[in-house]
Amino acid sequence: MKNRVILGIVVGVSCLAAWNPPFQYPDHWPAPQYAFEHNAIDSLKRELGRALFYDPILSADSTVSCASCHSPYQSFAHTDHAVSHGINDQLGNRNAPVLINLAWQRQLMHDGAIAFFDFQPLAPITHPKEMGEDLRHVLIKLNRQPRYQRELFAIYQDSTMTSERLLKCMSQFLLSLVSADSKYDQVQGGVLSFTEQEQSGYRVFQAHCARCHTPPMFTNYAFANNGISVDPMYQDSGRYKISHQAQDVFRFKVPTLRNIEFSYPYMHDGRYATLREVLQHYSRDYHSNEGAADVSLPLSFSEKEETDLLAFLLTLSEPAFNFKKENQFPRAFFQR
Amino acid sequence: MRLGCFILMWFWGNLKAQHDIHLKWNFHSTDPYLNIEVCKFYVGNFVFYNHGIEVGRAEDYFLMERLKREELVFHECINTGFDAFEFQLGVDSITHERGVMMGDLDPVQNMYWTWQAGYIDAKIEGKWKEHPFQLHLGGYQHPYRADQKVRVSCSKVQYEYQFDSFLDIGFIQRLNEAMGDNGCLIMSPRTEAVEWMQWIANKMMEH
Repeated sequence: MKNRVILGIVVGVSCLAAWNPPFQYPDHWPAPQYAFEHNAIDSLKRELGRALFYDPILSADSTVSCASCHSPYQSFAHTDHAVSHGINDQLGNRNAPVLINLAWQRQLMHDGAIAFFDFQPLAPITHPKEMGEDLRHVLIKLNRQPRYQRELFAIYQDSTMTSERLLKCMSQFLLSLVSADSKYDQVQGGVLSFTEQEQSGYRVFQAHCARCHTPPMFTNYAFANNGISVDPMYQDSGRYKISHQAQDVFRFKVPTLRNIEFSYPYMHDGRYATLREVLQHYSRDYHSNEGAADVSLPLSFSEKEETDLLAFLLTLSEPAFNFKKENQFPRAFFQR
Repeated sequence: MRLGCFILMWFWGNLKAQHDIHLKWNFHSTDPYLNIEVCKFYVGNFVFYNHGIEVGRAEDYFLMERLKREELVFHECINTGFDAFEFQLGVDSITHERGVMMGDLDPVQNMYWTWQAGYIDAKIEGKWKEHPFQLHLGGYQHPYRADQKVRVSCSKVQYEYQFDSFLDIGFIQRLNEAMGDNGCLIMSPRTEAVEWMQWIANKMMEH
């Protein structure tokens, strides 16, 4: 795989585990959306961001970290949980999405509420049903921690945690979560070949799915109403809640299908436990909400095509990504 | 003085004072039924003009807050007189794109919507005859872009000048029009927020 390098700078001396980025992605991918000129890739900042990601100190009662709902073993999604869990056993109303290839996303969250990447962690940190904290208080707590003071000094020659440092370091970690080595990628690179069934599924995919789940990112980053019924408990209007535009009622961001195998349950509210159920929604259901349809349901594919499509979707998995040590809990940092 | 809600805009410049420019905003109520608890807003991207020609600028953003920070001083911003200036009321979309920043734009200032990216351009909170109002005005994207360009013409063109304007801005009347049974709440980008920001900008331009 031919890689591009955005920028790699190593500053200072730190006790955090060495990890040498730089930010890499396949040559045939589009340019990232993230403005790296405001936050150039730096391995020490990335490592500090990783520590923050796993640290429950960000929540009001120090029980919930980002990793509580974004497990590295599921491509940073929340397997088996339909919706996110927060402090005091509270439940949110949306499923935690995978955290991969985020540098290409222009808008984050299912409804695109967050348009500026660095600010994204503020949403879960301050949400009363997630971490329920106040940014000012988070900074006070972090500034009492010698382990953070040491690392901050190594990076900035100043041991004060500020909101800018907190958020930009977290961005560094999140941006580094690039998954680009699935079987699909290896087929594209001429290293492997699809099986007959996968190839058949690829044809079904191109005919019915690729318009929204566009390769190579397997999303077009748009918002779409895929026709699923409205959950009577959540009454979630999706993108409309942010845009207040009538055409956005029940539209949600088209998710990437990369590592879809690991990110069950599916849909914005986690209503489908398996990929088979998702495909059955598209092949058998009719449009079931009052918003404008962006998908003409049911899509016409047979049971065999459905199975072939499933086989193709599994080629979008990169199991090794889930076990990369550099993405996991930084034990050494918390033992010091 | 009749009852009302007034805005004082005041500026002052002096050649002997190294061309410092002082700008002051003061929201003041003389109506006993109106209790303004919070009034804070962003201003920035100041440009000073003389006969239509730019003579100085200060591109930073500043968070003004009633009773806490009502005056700005620009040191040696220009070396000539000026007859007009303009500024951004609220944070423009370009600044939004620059990512997280410190100082007045630090998200710890509680002027950032954490669940919907974007700065809150202005917050006005309080009670009118026990009816609460909370105006959180902002939005950076069409059609709910709320930040406004404010241009103020000065009546005197000289090196030493002083100007003040003490206006009844009709806030209570405007608030009454917006009040429902439970008060007036605007907590997200929407048409009403844009209209409020346009109204405030227009009031700042009247003097």
